[in-house]
Amino acid sequence: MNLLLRFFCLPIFLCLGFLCLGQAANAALNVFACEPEWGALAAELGGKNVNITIATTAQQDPHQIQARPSLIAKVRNANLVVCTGAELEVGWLPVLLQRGANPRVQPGQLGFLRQRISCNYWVCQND
Amino acid sequence: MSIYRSTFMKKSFVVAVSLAATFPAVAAETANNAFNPALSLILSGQASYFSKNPSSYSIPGFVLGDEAELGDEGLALSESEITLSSNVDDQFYGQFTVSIAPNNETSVEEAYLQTLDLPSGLTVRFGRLKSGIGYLNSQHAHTWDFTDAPLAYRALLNNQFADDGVRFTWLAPTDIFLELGSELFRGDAFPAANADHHGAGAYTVYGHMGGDVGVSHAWQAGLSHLEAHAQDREASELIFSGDNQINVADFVWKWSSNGNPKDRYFKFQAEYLWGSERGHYTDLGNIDVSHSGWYAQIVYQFIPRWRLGVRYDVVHSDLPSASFYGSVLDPAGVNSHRLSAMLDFSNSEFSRLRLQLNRDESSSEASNQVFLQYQMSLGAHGAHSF
Repeated sequence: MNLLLRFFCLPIFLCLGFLCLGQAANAALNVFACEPEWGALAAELGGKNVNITIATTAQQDPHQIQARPSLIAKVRNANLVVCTGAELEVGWLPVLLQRGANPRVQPGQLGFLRQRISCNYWVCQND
Repeated sequence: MSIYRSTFMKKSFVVAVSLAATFPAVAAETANNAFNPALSLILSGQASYFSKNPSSYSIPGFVLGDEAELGDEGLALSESEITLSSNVDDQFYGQFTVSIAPNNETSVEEAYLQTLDLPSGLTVRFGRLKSGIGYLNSQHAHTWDFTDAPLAYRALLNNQFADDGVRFTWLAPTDIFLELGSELFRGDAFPAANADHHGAGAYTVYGHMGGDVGVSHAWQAGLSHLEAHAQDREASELIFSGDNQINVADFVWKWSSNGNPKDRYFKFQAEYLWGSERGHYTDLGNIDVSHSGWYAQIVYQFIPRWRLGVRYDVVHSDLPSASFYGSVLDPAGVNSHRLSAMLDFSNSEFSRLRLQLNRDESSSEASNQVFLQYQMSLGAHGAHSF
């Protein structure tokens, strides 16, 4: 996990950098993190330049979460969505993205980051 | 595992991660297309028992659409459903759902496209779609907590209101969820009918709000309005031309310990539908009548995989006028209501077995109903909608 975290710092850092360029100097970026670890990482990298919403807590199974109205509202205002991927959030993240009406954080955009592309066996073995 | 293979895998892993680091956006896009389009199949069926012959089912005071029937007694398939969905490109998302009835009749349930990149929280969906009114209406029936639709949905919306049309929604940029929507429909689905010459025979406006209370509670509430025009609509062997207005107020409240619905959760859900029908029934005369209905239900997952639910529902219609005496539109003094209880077991997110008991007093004669149902989902992972 440490290795992955280290590798994942760079894309988050790059995205935060690019997105900050497009923001007014004093406006903080809204980061929507699917799990607490990505929230912590974004906080470490972004400092006071980011407002972080964390969708799940450590007491929750992040796979079983529902696409609650509050989460849809948060995605609507996000500049960056950072998630694990590998189908961990497959039940709710696509619903949030579809109903969140936010073109900045759609797959393929700079504001959408997923750590793992798909859970084929070698990636999962390296968890 | 051979040494060669594990070295290869390590290398691929490093390459993949470096690629993701260098081109994060591109990597994410590839991922989105990896299973493109997502394909899922719903297999469903049940054994049903009715103490009263289901083919003579009616709700006094209401004409019923073609879907609003009880189904067959004995062992029978329910609708099988195939869904294909995918992002078309960066601007559109598409979904296609075809259902095959047990009598081999195929029907297109939904076939729509939705925009992904409109600014300011706007979204447009067009094609054939389930209307966003109420709470249950936009959900696929296999995700409902009970085997059958509430009486109010059965009597007023032919189980579910869906038609060809276009929907506009706006999501407010607020921390509290607020979504406003409006739809324009062709007008060929009950309670509308035969609107071909007008182009648009039904429209809706609705709003939904929702949020969290602490970590463990979440809620959603909504208000909707449907207006439907019918031209020579045939239902329950009566021909009607005129207008239907239906309003829906819906409320859902969910609790789960620490917001983690995996172990235990509780869900309360209620909807109130009221409206009117104005127009003319052939051979019976002019009509201007109001009707209403509501249901309330609770579902409790008391241990992982096992849920218990209870539902109570009611519908009511006024007697239009003396000329309707003795017709299906005559409520005949029946106070239509039903009590249902269900117990279901979900071995995984993909399978569900359910036992449901109804004490149905919606007709003049009370009926006991028992359903033992299976619902299995093959393929793409289903959505955890609220």
